[in-house]
Amino acid sequence: MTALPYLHHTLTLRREHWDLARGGLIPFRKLDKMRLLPFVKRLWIKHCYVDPFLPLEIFNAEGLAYFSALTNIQELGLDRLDLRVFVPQAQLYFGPFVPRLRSLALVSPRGPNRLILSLLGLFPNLDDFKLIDNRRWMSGTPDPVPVPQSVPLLRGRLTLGWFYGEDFLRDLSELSGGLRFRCMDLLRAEGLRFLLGSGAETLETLRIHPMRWTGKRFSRWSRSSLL
Amino acid sequence: MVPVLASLTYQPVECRGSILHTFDLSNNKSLRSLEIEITLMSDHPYFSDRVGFLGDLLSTVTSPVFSDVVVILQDKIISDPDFLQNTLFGAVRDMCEAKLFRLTFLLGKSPRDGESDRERLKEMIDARVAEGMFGALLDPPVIVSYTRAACSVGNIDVEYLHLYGPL
Repeated sequence: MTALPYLHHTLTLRREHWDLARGGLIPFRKLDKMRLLPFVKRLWIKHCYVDPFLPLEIFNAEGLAYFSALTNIQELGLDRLDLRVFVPQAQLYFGPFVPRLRSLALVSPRGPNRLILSLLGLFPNLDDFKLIDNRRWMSGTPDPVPVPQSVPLLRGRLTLGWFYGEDFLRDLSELSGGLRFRCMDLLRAEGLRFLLGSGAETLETLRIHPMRWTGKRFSRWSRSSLL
Repeated sequence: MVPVLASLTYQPVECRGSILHTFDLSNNKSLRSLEIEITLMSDHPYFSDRVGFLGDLLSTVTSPVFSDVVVILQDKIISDPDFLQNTLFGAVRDMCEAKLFRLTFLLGKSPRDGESDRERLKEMIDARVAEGMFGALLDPPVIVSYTRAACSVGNIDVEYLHLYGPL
């Protein structure tokens, strides 16, 4: 039994896991049956190629009940989150993670960067933030943009890959009272000079990827160096 | 209309001068370590220049607490000893001339691989150290390897990371 907290540290949900026609949310159900959901500290909801974006169906009544039992989630990763759908109701979907969440990763989110700020503001204890491939679906202006509810800590690690939008970094700096990350991992990110300049007082570790500054497009292979 | 990556106006830095202009670390007074991921992309025309600028980059570091450089190598690197021996080690030599630091090589490897890659890398590095190629280092270079793997138990994915200590 002592190994259980470690074995169930990470839970990764894939497309087949939330196929309601085939049973739906099976990993949640199994862990819940064994009362192991509170042991999960890292939750990744992976991208699937069937749906263009993260489907709302996993946040049905059953899914929300499981999410509310995930009381110790410290790291949350979301592939292809449609910000315009989820951010206005973020408290409903991600509320159970608010007190303890320290790390948030968004891969290929859809929607304008300002909605990401609203999402970050939901988690006051957030230390690490990872944003990868935000360029493909960032068009469109939200109306209205929810005001961030709190100021996230953001003093840990910032990872940016295939990142577009220096304005977002300036807004993030304004929201959190300056960039105070201790580590930065930067791969094909815009606004490097701003990042390194405004974060100069606290930056202790810098990771760079000089061989990947041009060339291959964002891909599952290339994202592996950041995840 | 979904914009495709290629149509965006984002312009990556290309030449050494503009790279250094972007990565000027002289204002940073708290920087302790620099981590550099090296992968093989030999089809790219700027292949050697990408590594060659590292010495210049390190010369911009003015932080009084700077102490570590970590070179992260993908396992395929070992299959290209020419790149390793000449291009990469040459860049490391340039970095050593610019700054005093501890040097760690972090070698990623597949779960199937044994320890042979790490041992080969150690042999190559030891030979270079014996030649005095790396000049002054705070300590002898350390080589650490890691394996990232995942398995599925029922419908539940479990990910794990193995770290193999210094040789």
